[in-house]
Amino acid sequence: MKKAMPFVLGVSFILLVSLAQSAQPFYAGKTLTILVGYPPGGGYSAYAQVIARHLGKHIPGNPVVIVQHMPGGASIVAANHLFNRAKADGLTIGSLNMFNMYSNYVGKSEGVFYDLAKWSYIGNTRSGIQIFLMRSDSYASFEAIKSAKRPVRLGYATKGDGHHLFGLAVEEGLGVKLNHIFGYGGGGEIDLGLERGELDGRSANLNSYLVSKPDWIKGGFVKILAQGGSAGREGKIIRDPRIPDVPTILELFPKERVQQLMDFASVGELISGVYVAPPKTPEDNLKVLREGFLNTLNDPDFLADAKRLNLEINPMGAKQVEAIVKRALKVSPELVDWVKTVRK
Amino acid sequence: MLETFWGSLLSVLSWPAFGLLLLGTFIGFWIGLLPGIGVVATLSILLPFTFGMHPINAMALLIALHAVGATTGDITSILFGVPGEGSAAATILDGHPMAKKGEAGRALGAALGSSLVGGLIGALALAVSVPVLRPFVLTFTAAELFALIVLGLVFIASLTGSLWTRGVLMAGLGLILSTVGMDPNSSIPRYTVGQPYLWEGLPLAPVAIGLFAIPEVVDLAVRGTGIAGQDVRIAGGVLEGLKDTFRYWGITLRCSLIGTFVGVIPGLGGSVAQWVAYGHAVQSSRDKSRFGNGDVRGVLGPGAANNSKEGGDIIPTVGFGVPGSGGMAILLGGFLTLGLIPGPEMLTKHLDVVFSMVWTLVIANIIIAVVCLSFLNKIAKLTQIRGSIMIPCILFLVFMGAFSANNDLLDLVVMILFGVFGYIAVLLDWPRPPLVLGLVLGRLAEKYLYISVGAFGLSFLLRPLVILILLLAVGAVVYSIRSGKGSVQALPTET
Repeated sequence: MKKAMPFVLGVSFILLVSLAQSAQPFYAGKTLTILVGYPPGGGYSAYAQVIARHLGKHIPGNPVVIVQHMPGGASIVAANHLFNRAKADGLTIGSLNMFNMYSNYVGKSEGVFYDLAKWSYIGNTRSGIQIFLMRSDSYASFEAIKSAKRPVRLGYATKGDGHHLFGLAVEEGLGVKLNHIFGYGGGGEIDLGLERGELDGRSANLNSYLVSKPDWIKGGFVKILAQGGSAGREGKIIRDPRIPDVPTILELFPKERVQQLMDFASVGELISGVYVAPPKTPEDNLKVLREGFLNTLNDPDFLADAKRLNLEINPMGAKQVEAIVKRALKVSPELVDWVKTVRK
Repeated sequence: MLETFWGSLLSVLSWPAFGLLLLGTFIGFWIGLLPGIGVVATLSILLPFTFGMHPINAMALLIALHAVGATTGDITSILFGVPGEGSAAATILDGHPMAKKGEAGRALGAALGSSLVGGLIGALALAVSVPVLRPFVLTFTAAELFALIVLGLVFIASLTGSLWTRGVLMAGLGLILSTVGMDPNSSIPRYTVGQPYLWEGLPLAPVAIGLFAIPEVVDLAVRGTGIAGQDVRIAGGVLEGLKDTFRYWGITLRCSLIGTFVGVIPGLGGSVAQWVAYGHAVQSSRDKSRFGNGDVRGVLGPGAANNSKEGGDIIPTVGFGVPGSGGMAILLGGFLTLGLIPGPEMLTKHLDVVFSMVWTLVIANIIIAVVCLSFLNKIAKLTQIRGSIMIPCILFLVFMGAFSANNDLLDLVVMILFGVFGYIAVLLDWPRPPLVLGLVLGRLAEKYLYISVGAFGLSFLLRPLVILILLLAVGAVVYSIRSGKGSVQALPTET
């Protein structure tokens, strides 16, 4: 057995070298395009721009990396294009809204022409932590929400989005009716609604909230009542270390429906920064992309740039991403139907 | 307060801020003039270069670019009838007919002059009102915003001229078209014919370009002359337009304030400002007969609002983190990079940065106005070139402009469909502006109606400010119907 070791090492070295050699000519002198499912200006674009600045260094052949925007349908247009029309040669990859892709896929929305099980997943840049918060001067505890004279008002962008599902989980857990109000044009507008008093609370993303409203949390204008928690080892949901005193929603309300709702919402949260390549992208190129992507996310220069832009980075490899997608696709049809009726 | 105001002027004029301002102005000028790249994309490319700069320097570069891009967009609107962006379409209504009458120089002078004055008035208005700005803005909940949008819709009545019923019908069509897209209240796509492209609604730029530019191209081809059917009166053209800015100082002043006000309120968005200003210019003029056929007042109104709204727009972006346009959304990203967090502190502790942004806006516009004035008369001569030579160039502008909305081929399909519709509308004499206003305001009206009813129930109609604004709207309808009847016989007197 011991005699075999040098042989195995030697063979794998040769294999690696030949792999590197075969990949090098492929990306050398080529242009790698990151397709973003949103217009310039938002978070997806910001992440992609910074990744584009560094990714080329970590791919043998040092291709030029550019960002292209294809807005429409909250990244469904880009998903359809990438899945069906883009060449699966490893020269076009995409940064798409995972929750939208997922909920419209399992909900069988019209105009969806991709299969979540078939993407060539590359990796993930960030994970989100959901929080549920209330204005401190309104109903700043679950008891207060329960005994409130009118249903408390919560603001969202779109019915059926991840934040709404979190609000629904709170509603299920508490067993009282909440007033969900939709149509706000993003988190900034919802916070404005809170400030001018037409809303009492909202669910939000902890990472972006710490960036956009640090004074609200520290100054006590709002109070965080619950968190979605982050995925610990073995996929167990644990409290986020930055808010250790805030209980997770499952600690508060260990009910099956709450668990199901959080499972449905979590695919968008855990891999909210997913990068994909078209299905059947050649194995060699996909491997190079996956490695280059992970190395970029751990590159100190990249991390310094990301920090300057306040971009949270939690690198995740393709295997983990695929496992999360696989689990999420096992969602019960009954729950999908229920979410669909909620959306109507 | 005023010390900070003047102090920040000095810091904008000092090195290197001023150099960066010049650079931004230079880039913005070309980006605004040439179709295809767009101000928003350029801003996002330049953003990383501002890492580590002092906030005032970084903003000098980015805001100068942003402001100038908006101003030069007016040039293509007036000369060729091709709006640089959807919001600039209001300048076309009278600007391009003026070009066709050989008054391109005067129209360009009026557009530049009014946007210069508008920028200055907007800056002063902001400086004076900063202490009360936050509480003022916070009194406008979704309910008050809904009432304001109803007031804006009332201006449709004034955009229709004597064809009252047709105008209202076109506005209704615009409102119906505004419902295309994903309904946020049910997450169900409406009238999207199976295309996720339409989930976010009909994009404004291809619609406006199709409606207004295509009929002009057809018209140019049919006439076989240059854009200007008669000789361009070069002498005094641009100067005449500058003089108009002050001749009708009432319109310039009021429309500047309208622009600032619409810009300051978070959630209304800049594309509304120019249309409302145009509506106001028409409504407040005694003789309305020449509007739409090349009345310089119809250029002054949206021109003045164009720049003052940019100044106003800074407030919701820095004060509340709610950007009013795509460009402002990128600037918001820039703030976070520079360690500036939108919120109350921006209007107290970091007030110097906010004022320096306003000054950058004003100075960049002064520079571009002076630069443009030196060759506007030459640009105006473009309208004398034979149509057969100009048409391919204009079509290039048309297609690139529409395509840059989403970089999607469907942008061109939308543009062509609305182009055909716009041409038919012109042939049959149906007014197009109400359709665009309906489309722009319809989305906002639906959004704030839903939020108001969700938050307050029907009692939102009983809020004092809502009652006041709705009464104003009723008054405006009554007034415009009455004066509309009168104007048919009225002599064309200037106000």
